[in-house]
Amino acid sequence: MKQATLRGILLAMAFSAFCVPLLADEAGMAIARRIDALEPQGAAQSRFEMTVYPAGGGAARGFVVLSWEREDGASLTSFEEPRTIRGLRILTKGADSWVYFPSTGRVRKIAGDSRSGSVQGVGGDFSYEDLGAGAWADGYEFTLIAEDDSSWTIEGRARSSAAAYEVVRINVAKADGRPIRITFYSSSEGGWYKELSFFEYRDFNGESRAARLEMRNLNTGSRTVVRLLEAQYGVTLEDRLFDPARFDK
Amino acid sequence: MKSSHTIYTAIITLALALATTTTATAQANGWDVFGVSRLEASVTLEDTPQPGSVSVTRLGIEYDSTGATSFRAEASLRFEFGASSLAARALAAGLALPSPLPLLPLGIDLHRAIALHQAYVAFSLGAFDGRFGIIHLPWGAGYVFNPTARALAPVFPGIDEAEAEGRVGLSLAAAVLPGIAVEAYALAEPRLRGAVPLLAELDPADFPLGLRAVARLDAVDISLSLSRSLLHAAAGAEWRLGLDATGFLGPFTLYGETAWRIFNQAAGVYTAIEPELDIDACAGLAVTIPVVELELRVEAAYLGGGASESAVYNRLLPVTGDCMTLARAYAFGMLEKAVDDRFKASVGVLVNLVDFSTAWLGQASWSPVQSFTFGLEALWFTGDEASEYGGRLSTGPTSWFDFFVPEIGISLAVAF
Repeated sequence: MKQATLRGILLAMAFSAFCVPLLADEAGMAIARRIDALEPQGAAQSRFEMTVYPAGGGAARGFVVLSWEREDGASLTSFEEPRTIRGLRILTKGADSWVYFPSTGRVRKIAGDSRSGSVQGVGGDFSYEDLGAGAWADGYEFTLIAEDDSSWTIEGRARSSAAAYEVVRINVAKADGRPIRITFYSSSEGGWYKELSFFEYRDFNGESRAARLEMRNLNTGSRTVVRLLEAQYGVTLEDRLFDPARFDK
Repeated sequence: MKSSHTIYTAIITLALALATTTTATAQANGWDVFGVSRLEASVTLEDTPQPGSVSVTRLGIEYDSTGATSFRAEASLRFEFGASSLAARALAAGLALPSPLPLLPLGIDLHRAIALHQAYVAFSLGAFDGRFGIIHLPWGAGYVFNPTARALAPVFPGIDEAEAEGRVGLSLAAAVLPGIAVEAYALAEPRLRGAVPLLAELDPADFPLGLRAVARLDAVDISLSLSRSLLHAAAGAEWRLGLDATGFLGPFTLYGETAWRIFNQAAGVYTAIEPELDIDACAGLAVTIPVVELELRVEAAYLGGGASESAVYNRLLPVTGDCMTLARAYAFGMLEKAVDDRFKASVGVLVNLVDFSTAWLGQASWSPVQSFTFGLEALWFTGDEASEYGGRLSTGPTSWFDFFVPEIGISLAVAF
């Protein structure tokens, strides 16, 4: 029954010009679920390159990261570059994170309040929350706030006060339901302060993914560009990768 | 005795077999080499300033950190000249070479120090994970003091633990439940290594061992440990029961760690715990101060083996390496500010709570490009002449040796 309803809503949105307008919150949630539904199913592993362009100029910083993600949102990231932090791993499960330092073998638990901060000071404009976020529809209550010929704009309010962002605004392409741009709001950062744009959607082992993402900090002017180098979806990953007692081994 | 030798032989044979297999596979897939070179220049802030310099090159090599087997090694070569050399300052003050000579750490020629920080094969077999070779065993939750970590040589509080030299041994971990594991290690050498091997250096009855249960759960990370540590060949082994935990309260990260000496093997008898002497403990908190985004960390430690008054300090302990602190109680505080990964500044202070002398360290770094880091560092010490950080060791009627000399320095580090 629920599935049939969802399909009906999606169908209605796809042909919204010819349909009776939906209630804004129903439409917003349906679009958010559609974005989530387009996310590849199953576990994923990827390798990407991240380039951080500091605010006010200065030399860019490059990072190469290996990432493993499980369906339940648990993620493990391991840094290949730069060499100074090679092998550093971050495990994120729900609201908890642990960092493994290879030069000492030590594992430290990271405070939940750090999740809105840059990853170990090297994640550029991406936070732990950005790397380990779950489904949009689970974390935010969405409303459709704008629409034009080619896109919808939905706004989501965090369901939990522990979320790194209080409000997110997603611009979605009508053609394929893919996000074009996401803007992030945090009152502690003075309002809308980060914007994530998606470019160059292409096939990665059967899944269409943005090969380039750009996160801009609207307050500081810094930006971080992520290029997806390799990605596999629906893979089987060992449980030990996501076990806080074993991910460092 | 015979059975313990047999077990050790079997374990080492198994580990060597695994290491050999891994090497063959690794060579087919290639290795990765990385490292950093750092040059420091400093000048002491004394009546007669003395220049000093240090160069450190650290090399790492790694193979397949995500597979069932992997290899990682990190080593460093360090040169010290002028006032940066503790040995040079000691000799200038009229002190003789450390005695007995065999206690000199391996690779030291009084200018040069070679340290193999890590060199191990890591393997996973089902629910078991292991490391064999030269390993670090960074037990405990504390940032500055780790009473439960008793495998490596004692280090000065606050020194980057990556600088510590690993010890030869085997560590194994068995996954029990998600987030819960039992870990054990056995080492083939004491915490302090002599330059000259001795037959009496390691009795199987004194082999350093450790066993701990670790739970990394949503609310708290906690571990319960039991270890047998051996400081050096001439010392008796001691058993300690340890407990450490890390958790959160609002924006605060809270942690605590304690180790209780329950048995001194050299004495050969169990003795009742005397809290004043047999307990080491530390507790601390860390918080990021909002708006200014300053990280504040404070930690307090009680070290039962330390002196309760400055009159009974044994100032030679840091020279022989037996212990890097003299007193029974310390406090540590640090403020750090980082701006992405380009700028970082910090100031930290270690306070001896017995004589109230202090050691201050201020650091600032700037990385204009990713591989280059320029640094500025200042060391300052306060305390009266009988204190730990302000005091001095008399070496004659008119001569003395200052362990802690204020200095200011600059550095350049290049990573590759």
